[in-house]
Amino acid sequence: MWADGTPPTGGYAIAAYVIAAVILIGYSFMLYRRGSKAP
Amino acid sequence: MSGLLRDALVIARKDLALELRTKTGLGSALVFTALVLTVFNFGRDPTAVAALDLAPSILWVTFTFAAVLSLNRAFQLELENQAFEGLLVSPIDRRSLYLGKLFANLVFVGLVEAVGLPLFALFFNIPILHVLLPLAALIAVATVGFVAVGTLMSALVIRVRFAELMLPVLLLPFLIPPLVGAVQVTARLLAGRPLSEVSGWLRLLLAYDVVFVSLAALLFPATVDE
Amino acid sequence: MTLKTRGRSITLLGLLLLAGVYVRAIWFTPVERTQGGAQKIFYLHAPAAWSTLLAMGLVGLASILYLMMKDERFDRFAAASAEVGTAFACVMLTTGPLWGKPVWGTWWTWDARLTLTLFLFFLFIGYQLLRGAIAEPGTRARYAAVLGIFGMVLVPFIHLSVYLFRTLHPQPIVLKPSAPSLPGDMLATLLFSFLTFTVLYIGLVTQRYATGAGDAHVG
Repeated sequence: MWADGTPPTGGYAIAAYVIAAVILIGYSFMLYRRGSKAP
Repeated sequence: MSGLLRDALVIARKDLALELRTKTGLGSALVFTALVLTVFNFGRDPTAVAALDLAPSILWVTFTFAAVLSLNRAFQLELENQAFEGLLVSPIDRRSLYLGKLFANLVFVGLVEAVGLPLFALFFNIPILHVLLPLAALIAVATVGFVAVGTLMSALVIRVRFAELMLPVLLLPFLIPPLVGAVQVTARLLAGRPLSEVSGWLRLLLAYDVVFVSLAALLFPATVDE
Repeated sequence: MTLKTRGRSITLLGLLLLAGVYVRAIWFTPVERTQGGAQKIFYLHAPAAWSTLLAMGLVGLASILYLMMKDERFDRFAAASAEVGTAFACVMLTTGPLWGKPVWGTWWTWDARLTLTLFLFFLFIGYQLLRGAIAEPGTRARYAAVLGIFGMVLVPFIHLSVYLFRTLHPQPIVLKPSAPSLPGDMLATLLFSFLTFTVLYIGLVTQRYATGAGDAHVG
């Protein structure tokens, strides 16, 4: 992952990956809940 | 075709007659424009940036806000007088209705710009007489784009709450391409550069006008019919 | 299998694929030399932009079809696509600055992709605000359709504006990891991610469409 010699910018990648996952999983779950509540 | 235009002009004349009789709308728009220019003057540091560098931005941001404000009243008059239903019942082609509104708005915004431009030149000490004709032509082309889309958008928000806020929210993304083009061309004109440098922007402005006036005329009936 | 269930299945599939993308991108794709780990954000950022653009295109298409055929299913689809598009736009607009800061030194840049996605975000929000402000379903569908078509037509003009703007004001030299010049492993990860995001789009829109029947107060 952080190979020798490459700049240590991995922190940003982690943040981005986490946020993207939160948004996509969160929205999917929100739709799931909305579907469960509908009459 | 001539019937279309004739009806449109009748509608435009009626609108403008109403508007200019009270003078409140036009007067407010003119004062607003002058105030925005004043705000811009005090909103900058004259020692840091030359007026000429900021000039195109100031001019066009002012015109954009003035146009949006003017468009807000486009259908308000009808709504207030409940004259809108009467118009719809009449056998006028919907496209005439749109074109009529468009003409009226163009005249209104044009008047505001006709006063705003000399005021701008005065406040910021920008020489414009040597490029007055091309500048006026540019303003006309860009304004057609603004008003064409704006007239249609104002039809969409006519019965919506907070219409004064909704209209800019919906409209501003559409105004940015012609705005950018107008600023770029204005900058070149004021700097005395040849227009050939901005042929790309001019083409964009013209394409925008053609596409969006057509689209608006095409889709306007959907905003008023059942 | 109802549409709702099918939508959920597709979304689930998409999320599993997303996990696969994550694993592959993090552990099985080489680190880019000059940008370091942050370059891997690209594998989420570009596909998210694609999904956003796809969403807008389909909003426009559905809007045209609605006005032509007055079938309210097209209207429902457009509403669903706009909402899903907003979600993808959020992904793009958060990953973009996180990539820009370490690589270009600035959180925001008016490059083609970010600018276009920002516009799409504004258009989606405006579209949904308009829908929320109109109670009568027929009027709402018509007005939204008009706005949707306008939004779709605006996209090429934004693209052109950004292109002209950049040729006039050259941005600082930036590494452009465009697909053709990517080495095999990276390209494979990218394509896998594009597929995943497309599947996610389909699943999410299907779910949203299926639950959009009582749209009156949700918009």
